Amino acid sequence: MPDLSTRIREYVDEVSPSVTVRDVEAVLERYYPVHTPRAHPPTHRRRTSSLIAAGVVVLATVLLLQFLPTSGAHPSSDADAVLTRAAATAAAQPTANAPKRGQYLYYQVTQALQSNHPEPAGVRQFTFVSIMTIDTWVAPNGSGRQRIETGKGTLLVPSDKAAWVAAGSPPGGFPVGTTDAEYPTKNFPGGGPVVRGAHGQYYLSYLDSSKFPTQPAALQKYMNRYFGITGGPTTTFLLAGDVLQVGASPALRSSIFQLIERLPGVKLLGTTKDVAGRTGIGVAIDGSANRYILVFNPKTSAVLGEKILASKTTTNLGETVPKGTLVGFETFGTTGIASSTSKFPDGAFAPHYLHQESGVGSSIEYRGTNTPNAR
Amino acid sequence: MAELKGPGTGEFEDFVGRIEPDLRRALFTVLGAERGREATAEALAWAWEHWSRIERMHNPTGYLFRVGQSRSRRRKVRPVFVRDEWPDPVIEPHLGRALAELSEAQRVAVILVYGFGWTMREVAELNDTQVTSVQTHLERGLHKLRVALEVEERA
Repeated sequence: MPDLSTRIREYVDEVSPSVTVRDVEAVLERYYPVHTPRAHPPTHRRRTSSLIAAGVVVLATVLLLQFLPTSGAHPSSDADAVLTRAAATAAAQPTANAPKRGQYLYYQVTQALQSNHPEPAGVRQFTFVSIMTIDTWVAPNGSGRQRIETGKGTLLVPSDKAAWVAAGSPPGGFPVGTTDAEYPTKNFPGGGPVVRGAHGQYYLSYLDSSKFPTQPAALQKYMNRYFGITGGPTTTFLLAGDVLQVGASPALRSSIFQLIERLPGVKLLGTTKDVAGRTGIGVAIDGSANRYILVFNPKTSAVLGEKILASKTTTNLGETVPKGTLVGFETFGTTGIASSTSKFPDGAFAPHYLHQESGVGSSIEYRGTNTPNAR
Repeated sequence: MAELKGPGTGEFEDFVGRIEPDLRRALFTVLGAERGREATAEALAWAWEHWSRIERMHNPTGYLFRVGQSRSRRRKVRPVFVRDEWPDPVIEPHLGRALAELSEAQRVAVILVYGFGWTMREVAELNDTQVTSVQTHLERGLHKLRVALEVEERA
């Protein structure tokens, strides 16, 4: 048998094979579909309206203040009681339909994701937050559609505006626009979650939770193995929220609430709003630098959203993120069974697929700048 | 804002050929196989977009390592769901599991230094940390890996 270093080399290059120039072009085509990247570099990005940008910054400030937990954390025994009730409520809910042949599980998630504009050593960093609304239609075989609308990035710390302007307003945030991909595709996908199947094809992932055990301890082990969880209770906490979101059976949903109850350090926050402004019950778990909050509807046990707040003030590359800053979130919208990728579960028509060419699995409507010009 | 300038075809292909292996392996250590590859492509796309900056850099790999991690955050929150019926193309499942059990810092040190021959200084610069920290992570990670794989320690 080869020595360990050789085995490591072979393993890494086997499971993560080379990225080619074509792969890079596929990424660029998503961002700049009109211009073939090698032949036509991207053109000028438009300046944003100062009025809109200022409004965005104000809104971000309001969001930061509004979405902090509305009450202090209670001891875990209170959390246990609330989660036990949630488990009972979940068990009493009607069974969600699973997609049959020719049908799709539809779900909508809105999430905020950070991006940094990397700077050389010694240059101050500014982090931006972009809000993405993701509509997913996924069939059990991994085919489907995913449409992602990305909004204009805003500064993670709104009070950094003056420093950002003084630094020359460096760009940040993900490209603004809409990506729309049909699966399977051979291109790098525009969003996730996705998996790669055979022959270099990318598929959407379909979480078939019918095989998940419904006893909390067994569920914990199964989830660890299934998701490759190595990140401890905070990872389990967030993944439990995701599983709750995508069509789990009442028994499984009940077990997930019991699993959350068993995680060490889970606290009850009481009445809490998600980022969409919906009121529910918040439970939280603290990581090393962040507090992770799950907000659910106590009447139905439906998860409304997740929020991540900085639990201490941190400074990195000259950027200080104050304690309490909303550093990430997800809100969960409608979910249900759709008859096609062009319809929502209620039968209403979804936006038209943006564009489709033979051999091209995704397209993008590029709407201009990703620079949150705050002036 | 200045117009974005991309490189010529051959120039960029040469750059990708030179940078890609180290960048992909480094991103693998922190993001895993699939997301690591995606982040590599994203980082190289960023390099194309910002070619005028990249071409002046002495060590663009470290810079693009950060770009790749930053750009991959859009996929960080939601997990990749693995389906049982799609076999993982893993040639050594035990090694993969054992590497996953290491801390991120240990995995970076073990894979890049021990596996691919990076110097500890290179890894320290990549992660903005001390050489001594890299050495500690390497020793602990290797020990943990050998125990997990039941490989005998070298004399």
